[in-house]
Amino acid sequence: MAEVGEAPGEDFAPYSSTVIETARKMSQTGDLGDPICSALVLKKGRMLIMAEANVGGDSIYLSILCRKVPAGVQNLIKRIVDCMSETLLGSH
Amino acid sequence: MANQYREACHQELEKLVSREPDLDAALLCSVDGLPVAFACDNELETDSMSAMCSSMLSLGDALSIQGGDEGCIQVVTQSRSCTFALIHAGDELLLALMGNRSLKLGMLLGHARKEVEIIIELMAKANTQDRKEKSARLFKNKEPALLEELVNRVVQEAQNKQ
Repeated sequence: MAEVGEAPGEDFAPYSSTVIETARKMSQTGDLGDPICSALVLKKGRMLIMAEANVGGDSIYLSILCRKVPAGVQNLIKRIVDCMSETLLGSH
Repeated sequence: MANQYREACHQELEKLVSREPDLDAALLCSVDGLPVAFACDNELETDSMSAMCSSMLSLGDALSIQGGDEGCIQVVTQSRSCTFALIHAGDELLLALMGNRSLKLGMLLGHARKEVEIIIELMAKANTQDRKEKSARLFKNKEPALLEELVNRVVQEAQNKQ
C-alpha cells in the first residue's frame, strides 16, 4: 500500500503478512495469547518490527525497520495506524 | 548416541527453566520441525509447536533475505502475557524460549544466545564421540578382512613358488 525509507520492494509484502499470520497460529498452538507484534532481530542490531491493525474492517500489516528499537513502539504503531485510518477512512 | 545427546540437551533446558523463574518453557527442535528436547512448567504441545517454530524461523529468514540480509538472528513475538524468542542453534536445530512479560526482552535474547552456545558445544561433543565410535567400529570390522587378505596373499605366493 505504502512505503518509505529503506523499503525492500514488492516481494516483501506477502512475506510480512505471512509472518504475522504464522505468529498468530503459533501463539494459539502454544496458548501464548494474541500476539501484539513480532520482530526480526537482524545483523548490526537492526530490528524489523511487524504488526497487524484493523482499519475499517480490513487488516493492514505494518513493518518498521529500525537501527535501534524506538521508545514506546506500541504507541508509535498506534500513531501510524491512526494516520492510516484518517487517510483511508477520513477523519474520525 | 542420539539419545545421550537429547538427554544432555533436555537437562540443559531444564536447568535454564528452573534457574530463570520468568522463563516458562524452552523447546529445542530440528529445522524441519521435529522436537528434540524441551523443558516446560506447564503442558506444551511439542509436536505442533516445533512445526510452527520451524515455519516461523524459515519465514523470518526468507523475509530478511528479501530485505537484503543473509538471514535473521532471532525472531521475537510478543503477546500481552508472554514474550517468545526463536533462534538458530547451529545449522540443524532451533531453540524457542517462552518467557512471561516480567522477563525483559534483552534478558530473553541473552538467555537464548547463551543457551545456543551450550547446545552447539553439546552437539560438537556428541559428533566427536560419534565419529570416534564409528572409526573404532570400522577398524574392528576391518581387522578380520585384513587378516584374511594376508593369509590369501601368502597362500597365493606359496602356490606361485611351487
